Amino acid sequence: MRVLVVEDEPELLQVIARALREQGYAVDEATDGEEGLFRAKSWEYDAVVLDLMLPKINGWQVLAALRREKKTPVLILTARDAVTDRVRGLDSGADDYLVKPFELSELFARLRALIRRAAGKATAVIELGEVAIDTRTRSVTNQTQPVPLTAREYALVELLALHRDEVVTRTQIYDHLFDENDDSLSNLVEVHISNIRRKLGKDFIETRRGLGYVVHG
Amino acid sequence: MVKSIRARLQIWYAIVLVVVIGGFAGVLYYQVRKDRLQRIDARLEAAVRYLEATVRSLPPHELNAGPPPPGDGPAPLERPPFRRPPPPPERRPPQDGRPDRFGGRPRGQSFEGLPGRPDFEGPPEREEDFHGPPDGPPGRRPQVTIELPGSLLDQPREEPEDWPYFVVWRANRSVLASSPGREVGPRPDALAFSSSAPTGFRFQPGGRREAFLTGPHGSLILVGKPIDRELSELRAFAWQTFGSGALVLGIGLLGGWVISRSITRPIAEISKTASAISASNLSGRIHTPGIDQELLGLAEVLNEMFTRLEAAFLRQSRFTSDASHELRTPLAIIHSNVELALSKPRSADEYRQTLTACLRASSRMAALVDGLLTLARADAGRLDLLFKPINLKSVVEEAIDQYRPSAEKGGVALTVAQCDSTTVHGDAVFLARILGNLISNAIRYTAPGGQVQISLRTGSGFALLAVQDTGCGIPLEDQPQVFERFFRADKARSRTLGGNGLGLAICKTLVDAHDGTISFTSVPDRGTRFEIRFPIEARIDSVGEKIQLALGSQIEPRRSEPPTFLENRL
Repeated sequence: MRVLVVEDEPELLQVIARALREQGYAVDEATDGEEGLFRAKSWEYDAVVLDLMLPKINGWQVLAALRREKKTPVLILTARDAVTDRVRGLDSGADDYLVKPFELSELFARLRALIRRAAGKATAVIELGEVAIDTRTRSVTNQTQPVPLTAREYALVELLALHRDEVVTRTQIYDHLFDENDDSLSNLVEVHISNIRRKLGKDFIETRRGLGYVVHG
Repeated sequence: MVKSIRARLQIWYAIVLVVVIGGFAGVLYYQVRKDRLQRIDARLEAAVRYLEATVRSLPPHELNAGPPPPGDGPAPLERPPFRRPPPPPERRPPQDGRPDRFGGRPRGQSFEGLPGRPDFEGPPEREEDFHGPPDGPPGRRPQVTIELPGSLLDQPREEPEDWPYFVVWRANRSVLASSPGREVGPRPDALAFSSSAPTGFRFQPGGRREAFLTGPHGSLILVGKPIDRELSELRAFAWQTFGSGALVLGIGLLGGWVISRSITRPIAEISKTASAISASNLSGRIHTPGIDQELLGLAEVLNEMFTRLEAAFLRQSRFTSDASHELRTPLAIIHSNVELALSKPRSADEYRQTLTACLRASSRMAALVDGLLTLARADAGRLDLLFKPINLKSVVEEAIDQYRPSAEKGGVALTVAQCDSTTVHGDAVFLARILGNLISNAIRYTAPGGQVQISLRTGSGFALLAVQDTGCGIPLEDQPQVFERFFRADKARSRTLGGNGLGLAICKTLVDAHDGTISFTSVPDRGTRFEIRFPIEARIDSVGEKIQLALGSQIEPRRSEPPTFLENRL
């Protein structure tokens, strides 16, 4: 999953990005509204974490401009806790609202819920036959047996599971799993796919030649 | 005292109304009554005068109390007078065709022998009527028949008791003549006047008015008339007058109550509006159209106050919101860093990194809290400045030493252009803080390779401290707000450069506390120059002048300032 964090406070941006990366997200960073809006428009992010008090363009304006083009889930992360601010934020098209200071675990949970809802899934556990994917603990079980996956492998499984019965292209996988800082080798996706097949069974992921990959629920 | 304006108004109003209306009604009644009585009295007096003239024309023996004339016999007994009621006037044909001056009635009711008398000013012809042979007790004289012309008094009424009547007593208290059909009492003593006395009037029981006059030879003439009808008319008039007065009073009081309510209602509305205005809702205003002029001023003053209050509250709430934002951000940094570090075992380097981030955030919070406290104390007037003579030169030198490392780190040259030894009266800590804020700001906003120059010189009556940089300058549209709390010209730059937006606000507050002024000139992309003027005490000033005088003209007044950076560059 690839998220964009727009935050003008460098220290805070840094720690949020680090925490999200540890959670397996690909994270892009923006330090002002202009940059944030540009990035949010040019990529299919799974979610955007948006501060409101931003230089150049404030968070509400970024949100309004983004909403004219995209439905990317947006979580507002701000120190402004007045009810009017929350209402304004949610009315401008934000999907969730979190007030600083916040618990990282709450930020993670809200992001997971946003991404899940955007994919049309209501529950935290996605079941694909014998395979169950728990997005809360980021763990996968096969016939109730835990399957050890690396963060990238898990992210790939989750991405495919959220888009089950849909063909996910290699480009999409790159877009959602790697941020701009990753050196994405051309065959990295194939390596991850073969590792997952080794752990969850050959038939778990179907290859559509020339198109991409698909899992069936 | 009643505490309600309205009640007081009403009470005063009522008192004034009662006095005015009561006084008016009383005067009116008194005047009308007096007028009616005067008219009655005038008629009675005319009758009295007439009778006097008649009596005067009688032969003296009829009047005197002396021996009776011959043939008169013994003093006649008092006997009932010959009753001859005057014939009803309507049946009496007019004596002549002349119109009557007195209401068209035929005149000379009893003076048949004198028809057409024009008036009664002169004494009438004598008319004597001896009532036959005396049959009364001896020593009493018989009465004389005299008639009053009916036109002299009011028209006789139906009942004989209502007729006007008269009595003439002789000096010896016997009755000389009296109106027919009337019992005559003894001559009243109290009415014994001298002949020169004017006509007297009196009320008698039964609603009668009597006029009396001392006639010739000690006789007493009395004419009476029942005036109960007039009196009852006057009573009715009194009732009407005072009744309508009471009605007017009632209407007036009611009107007063309504008016006083309309006067006090705007006050009640003003107080209602004012009480509805609270910290949470300051948008309410008193509706001024329709308010009376006297209250308009009050309403406008209150409205202006509400506007100022609203602005102050708005500023306050924005300040609170900004302060909470500034405090929450480093808190979030600390919280997130610690939470992330604790989520799994880390290497010593990672922990060090986390702790460093936490330290930076907490230093930032400490600086912010310190700044907020300074401002709060200044707002509360409790800065606790420790004033003493301070040489600004040493403050400048210390600041240079303190900030040189950070200037070098930022590649900025920190220099001193001119540094006079100038003593001001101030607080050393706060003066250092003012200068420190300005220098750190200048370094922060100046790109590497730039220059920050400090100068200190003495003007007439003030010390001028200037900090000038070749930095990015302040955008023109932001210049009016630079001294506002939490204002940052370029937010993006200032975030990465640090600073909490309070520095210049604190500078201004502290300079104000030193009775100084702070100003700046800034050209975007060229640089900014901040100038602070501190007053120099007159004492110090005069010492300086004395020194200057003692040294003669050796100390030339300097050019105010060497060419500045900006001037050089512009």
